Amino acid sequence: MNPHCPILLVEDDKIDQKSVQRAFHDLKIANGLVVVQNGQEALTYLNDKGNHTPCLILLDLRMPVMSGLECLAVIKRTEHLKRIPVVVLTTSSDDRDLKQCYDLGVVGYMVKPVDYQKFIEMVRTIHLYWILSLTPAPT
Amino acid sequence: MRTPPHPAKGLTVGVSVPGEALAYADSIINTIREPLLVLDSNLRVVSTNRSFYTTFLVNPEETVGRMVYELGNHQWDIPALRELLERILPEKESFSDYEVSHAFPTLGMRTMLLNARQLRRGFGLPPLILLAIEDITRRKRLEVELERTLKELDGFAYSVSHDLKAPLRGIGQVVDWLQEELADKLNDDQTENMDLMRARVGRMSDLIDGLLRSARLGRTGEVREMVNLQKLVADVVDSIQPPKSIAIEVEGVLPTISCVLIQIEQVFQNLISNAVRYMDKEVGRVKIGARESSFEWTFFVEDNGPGIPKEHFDRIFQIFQTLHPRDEVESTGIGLSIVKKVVELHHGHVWLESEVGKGSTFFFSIPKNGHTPEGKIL
Repeated sequence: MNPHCPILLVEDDKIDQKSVQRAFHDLKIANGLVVVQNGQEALTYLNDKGNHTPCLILLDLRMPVMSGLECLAVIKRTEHLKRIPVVVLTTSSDDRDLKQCYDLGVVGYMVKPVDYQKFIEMVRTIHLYWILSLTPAPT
Repeated sequence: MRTPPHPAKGLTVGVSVPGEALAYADSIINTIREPLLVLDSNLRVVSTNRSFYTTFLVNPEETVGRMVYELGNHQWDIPALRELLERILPEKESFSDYEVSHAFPTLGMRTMLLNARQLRRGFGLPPLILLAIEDITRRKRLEVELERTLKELDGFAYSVSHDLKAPLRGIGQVVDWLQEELADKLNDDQTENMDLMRARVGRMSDLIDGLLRSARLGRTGEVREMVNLQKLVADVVDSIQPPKSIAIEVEGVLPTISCVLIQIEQVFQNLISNAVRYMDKEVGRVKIGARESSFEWTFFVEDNGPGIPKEHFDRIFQIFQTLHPRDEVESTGIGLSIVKKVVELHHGHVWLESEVGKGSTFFFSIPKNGHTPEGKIL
């Protein structure tokens, strides 16, 4: 993962947004964090040629306007977006959600811990992994 | 001529004349609420009862003498009935609880439970077949609805608890961040306020969990299994991790009993952690044990804690009741109500003995497999 490409966070809850931003700050993660409120805004961002293509998408599931699953389905159908790794970051440990996400091709599914320290560990782990793992260059 | 009274099972009535016996049987047959059919060995109707006529909307002229399958304009030409009468019954004397679902032209879709029996007769006469019919359509429909409602309730309870806890998580996180950032700028009072806030958030989260657990108790389909209580209690004590000042011991060896594992685990979890949490002595002692009687097991959790005044004995098992100011000891007040609910689901009782200043002993009984204390078979 290129340290200069942004990571896209799709999350509507203000406090959850802040916790990811805070974790990025505490961990001194170099990648910029772009935050959008729902699936619709995510697609708008991703389809705008003026924006850097993110190298990782952190996706919440329950959002207004367009849910995580709907957004995920569209991304995976879109030629220039479908190879961007998507990690689901959610509060739901619902089995159906889990299955549907993997059916659509997510590369990870993380249930947000209540404890902030544990949450930081989780973000650190996700970041470390994707620093190491190669992803195809955006088309 | 007198015939001796027939020692029919459970019916020892002095009947002196054959005609009287017949009239007696007839009255019974025509008063009972279940439809009955008596068929000969060619499956033709010999007799039937009033309930059959009224339930299936047929009349005697159309019934007696007819093949059972022809009844009510071939309403009874059902493959499942043929199976019962032509294949199963010839091989067995009787067959009970045979379920048949059929769309009757006049009645609509019905599910019935049949008991069939061969009636042996003397004097070389071929046996008769007795068919008792119970319409369980409504009961089945209610069972299906109940199952669906309980499933909905489960789903509802889960998502309510999930959605109620979400804002709590948010609050807890923000309080953490504020405390971190303002650590050296807050005075003692303000720091205490932050702690109080965080504690309240935790309490609400526990309350929601407790309510969800309590609401889920009593769902049918919970499996009873043989549970090794010695091991269960050891695991529970391990997970509680009592402080060094409190010694927890088990008297003797706890038995292996038939119960619902996660529920009984909850009972021991609640009782033992209560004993630990409320301990007020420097050297704490908690003892767990069991007593066996012929029809039940009685378990106890004894502590040398503060004890509980007699006037509160009943109240503490009610939901949300606590004895201490909630800021002294963090408690939801649900624990003991769950203990009571679980023990009662196992057909047992819970009670306590206590002396203020000296300690308390919580007892609960579990009837041995198959019995209730009143001697009822489960």
